[in-house]
Amino acid sequence: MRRLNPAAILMLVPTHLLLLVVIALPSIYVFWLSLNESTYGSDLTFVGLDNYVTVLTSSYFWRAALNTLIVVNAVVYIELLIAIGMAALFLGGVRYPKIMFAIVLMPYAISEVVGVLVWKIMLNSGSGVLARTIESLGFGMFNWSVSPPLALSVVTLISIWHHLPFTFLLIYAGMLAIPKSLYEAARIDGATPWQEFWRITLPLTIPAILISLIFRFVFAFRLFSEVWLLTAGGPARLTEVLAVYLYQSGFKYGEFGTASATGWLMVIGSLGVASIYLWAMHRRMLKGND
Amino acid sequence: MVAINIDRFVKRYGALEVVHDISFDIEEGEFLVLVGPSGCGKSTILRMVAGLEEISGGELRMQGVRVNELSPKERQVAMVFQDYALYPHMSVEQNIGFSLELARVPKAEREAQVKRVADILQIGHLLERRPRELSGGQRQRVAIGRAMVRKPQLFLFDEPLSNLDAKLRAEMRGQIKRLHQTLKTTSMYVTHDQLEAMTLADRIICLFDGHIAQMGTPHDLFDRPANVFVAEFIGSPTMNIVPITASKAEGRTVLTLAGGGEVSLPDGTALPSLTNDGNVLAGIRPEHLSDTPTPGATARIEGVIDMLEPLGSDILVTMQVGGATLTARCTDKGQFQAGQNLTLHFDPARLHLFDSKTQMRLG
Ligand SMILES: Nc1ncnc2c1ncn2[C@@H]1O[C@H](COP(=O)(O)OP(=O)(O)OP(=O)(O)O)[C@@H](O)[C@H]1O
Ligand SMILES: [Mg+2]
Repeated sequence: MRRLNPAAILMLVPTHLLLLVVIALPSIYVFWLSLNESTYGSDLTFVGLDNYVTVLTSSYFWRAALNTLIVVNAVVYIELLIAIGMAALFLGGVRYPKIMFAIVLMPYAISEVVGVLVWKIMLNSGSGVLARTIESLGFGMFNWSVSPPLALSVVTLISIWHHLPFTFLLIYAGMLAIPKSLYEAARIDGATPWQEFWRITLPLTIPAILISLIFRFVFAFRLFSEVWLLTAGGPARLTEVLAVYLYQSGFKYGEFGTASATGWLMVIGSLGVASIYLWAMHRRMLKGND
Repeated sequence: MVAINIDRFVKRYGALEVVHDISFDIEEGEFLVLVGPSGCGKSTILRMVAGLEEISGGELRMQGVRVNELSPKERQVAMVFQDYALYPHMSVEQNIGFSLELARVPKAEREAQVKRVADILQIGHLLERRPRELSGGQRQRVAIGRAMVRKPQLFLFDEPLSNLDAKLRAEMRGQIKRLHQTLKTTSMYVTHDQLEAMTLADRIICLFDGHIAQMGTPHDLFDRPANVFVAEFIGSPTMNIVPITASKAEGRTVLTLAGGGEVSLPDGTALPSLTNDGNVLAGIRPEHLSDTPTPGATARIEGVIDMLEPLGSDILVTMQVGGATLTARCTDKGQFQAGQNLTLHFDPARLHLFDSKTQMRLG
């Protein structure tokens, strides 16, 4: 292996220090917290894995975990499908591409909180423009705030709306990188547009798809503001997701130990998901499949 | 028999016209080469024939039938691309067999076809590999294999050798030539390399700025270039072209160079009828200039050696003569030195004359 020269090390130091201070040290401290009982105004008491036991035996935690699992998977995969479809559309050429592009990217430029609140107003049962439209179409009262499945569907919808531009960009960039001459060769070989998509575009976009899946799973796992601003986990803690559960234990019930334990459980969960996709990517690279 | 008619082709990109009213035919089994400098419209014409580029004006007929509106597949053309355009995620076997797969040819037959083609091209041992595990020459063969397997009516090549090094290029050139002699498939080949054009073509079309500058056999273009452009484009090193004034003195024709130098032509040399009071462009190829008198009546021209470029057995001698620069290709016996006076000889029959205004060939 090549030895790093001192100047190179010196230049890497600031970044590493920063990472140490904002990521490594807090993580270690949070891990230490998760092994202690702790609340406002009291000293830490070492309790071993008790906090993990408390969390893992809490029905609220499992409800939140299940909600997270469902919402995250729905968000990531639906978003991926829409992004692939839209990227393929853009690749085939759309009218007024610059304007269309700006429109598609717009949600990403809107602050998350503002976006969620506007959706909330539009979906407000009885007064919101979308809710009233749905009601006037004869679907009955659109009362998502009392129906956990409906509320989580709304959360899913808003989350997809907000993050779609990110996934779209990654996938579209991946598709743009495919040389045009491959499509020409395929046309000469007799491929229909549909076959071009399935046999050329999609297989060559898989690396971009895997990357966007990793990013989105890890991001989506932290899902918080959509739920917090829409339902705050209610009714009866039925729509909580893991991040909301964590927030509740930490800041509503003041149990920093269990909140920290939840935090570490979330990290392990998202690492688990990410590692599946990283492994898939690694395998493709070994096979020389990109 | 005529296989392909290209009838008054025009290509426009918006208001910009890049191919202007071009017509030619391709005979059945012929190897036609389109040659010309970068940007002259070679690829555009090829792609219009392939069906990858819309035909803005004119008609394309194959076996007498208009095919403007047909897809590339329906035209039954196969194409070899400059960057090979192999599918990176497919093996060599899948790459070659892709068109058959799309045409729903049964697997067993498909494998047999791929094998047949791979054996001809000597890539049978590479079938399991991916394109990126191949060398440039191997990729080129796969690209040719992919085109061959479809048994097309027409082969199209767009500068297929330009990404290869000189040695491999010569080798693949030979292979393409041999392939064509075996398969006899009508072919249209685009290149900017005049040597490739000369060696491969049954017939060459030399393009200039979206127009046909000349069309003919390699010999026609080399021996009787129709204009200054073709004269300079075909042949390497480039033909010497100098402005001269031709006049009669005491019954003999004398060519006076712009800077005052004179060329004495032997008695009885017949020149074509001249234009612009004898102010014309004269052209002579470097290999037709010699430092030793050849038997028979030769013309002479005197000057001073300016620069020497040894090529091995031959040497390029650049000579200043009356304000003009001439290059000669001579046998190198160590007889030259810069600054020396030199007399070059040539056969007047090798002299090309062009109108100085229209740049067209005289006679
Ligand atoms: N999509 C396009 N829009 C506008 N002009 C174009 C387009 N494609 C090609 N042209 C122009 O058409 C002319 C001919 O292009 P073409 O690709 O046929 O050249 P070529 O002879 O193949 O050159 P080269 O040897 O560099 O490949 C060029 O002047 C080019 O700038
Ligand atoms: Mg070209």
